[in-house]
Amino acid sequence: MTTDAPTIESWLMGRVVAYGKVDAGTFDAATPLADLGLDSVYALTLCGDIEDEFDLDVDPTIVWDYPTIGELAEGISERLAAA
Amino acid sequence: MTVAGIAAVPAPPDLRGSECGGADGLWWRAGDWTLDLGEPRAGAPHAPAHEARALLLAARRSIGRAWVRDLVREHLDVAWPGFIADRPREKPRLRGDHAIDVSIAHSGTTMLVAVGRGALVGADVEAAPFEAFGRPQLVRRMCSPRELAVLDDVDDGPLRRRMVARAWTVKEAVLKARGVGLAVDPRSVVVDVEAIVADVACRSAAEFASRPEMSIVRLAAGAHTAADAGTGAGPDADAGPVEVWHPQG
Repeated sequence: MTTDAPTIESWLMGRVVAYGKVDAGTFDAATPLADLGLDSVYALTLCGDIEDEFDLDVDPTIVWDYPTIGELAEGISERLAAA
Repeated sequence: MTVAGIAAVPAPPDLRGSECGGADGLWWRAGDWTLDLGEPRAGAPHAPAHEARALLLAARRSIGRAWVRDLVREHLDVAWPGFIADRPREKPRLRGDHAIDVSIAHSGTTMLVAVGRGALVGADVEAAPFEAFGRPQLVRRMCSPRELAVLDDVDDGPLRRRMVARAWTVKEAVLKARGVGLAVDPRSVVVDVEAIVADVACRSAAEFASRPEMSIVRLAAGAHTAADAGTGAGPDADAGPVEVWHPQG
């Protein structure tokens, strides 16, 4: 399992596109998650996806603590490295 | 906190493409917020996608607040006090009269706003077809083990996703009424899933295929204090009765 931020960032961008709120290519890692229409439902879904992908238990407030995909990827990477 | 009462309240006829309703001091409006959008500005269609998205989000926010203003003026018989300046991740609040509580929800083109006096008000809406509510990653993060056991007995499909969506709107409305959002685990808000399953299962999928799921809840004004303000009661505490309405149920 990868713990490097760029790979996690790419995976996160894929998840956001899969949720169907935005089209690929219309956002980047610096776009605020709030601007991507990531509401409570998708914040919670993302937590479940992170749990499945990285075996990492996170609270949905993680999207407040790390408000962009780039920051969130860094945060997950740090948590995985510390685990 | 356990949400036991599931009551359906009929909504009156359409009003400007939306429905308004009320019950004992609680008022709401639900409808297509995009009908209130003004004409697009010249050049707007050519704006980059992220700029167009930001403009739309800002317009949606303004329309939601205008709907709240209209309900407060029309039904609560007070001069419009205006909103307190935004506080990130906090419930919108009005200036002055703290007895008035408001909640704004949106999903797709559907918006639901609710206002009430002397109680905590929460609203949530999810637009069909509820694809997200078929994802096990979401369902296990929102449902208690007992709720999951009930839902496990229902075959996956449009009706089950609607059941999950309705359960979610109740949970989310309760958390919004309490002003805590996802800072509190939605699994701790226990809803009457059996009642939801029974209500949805007796209908055909086609009967309300495109209808959104909406919930409005009203809690006693002190409910959030007992449950969330460090009294030791914790989010699982029964903080008093929770009234629930489904405007288009």
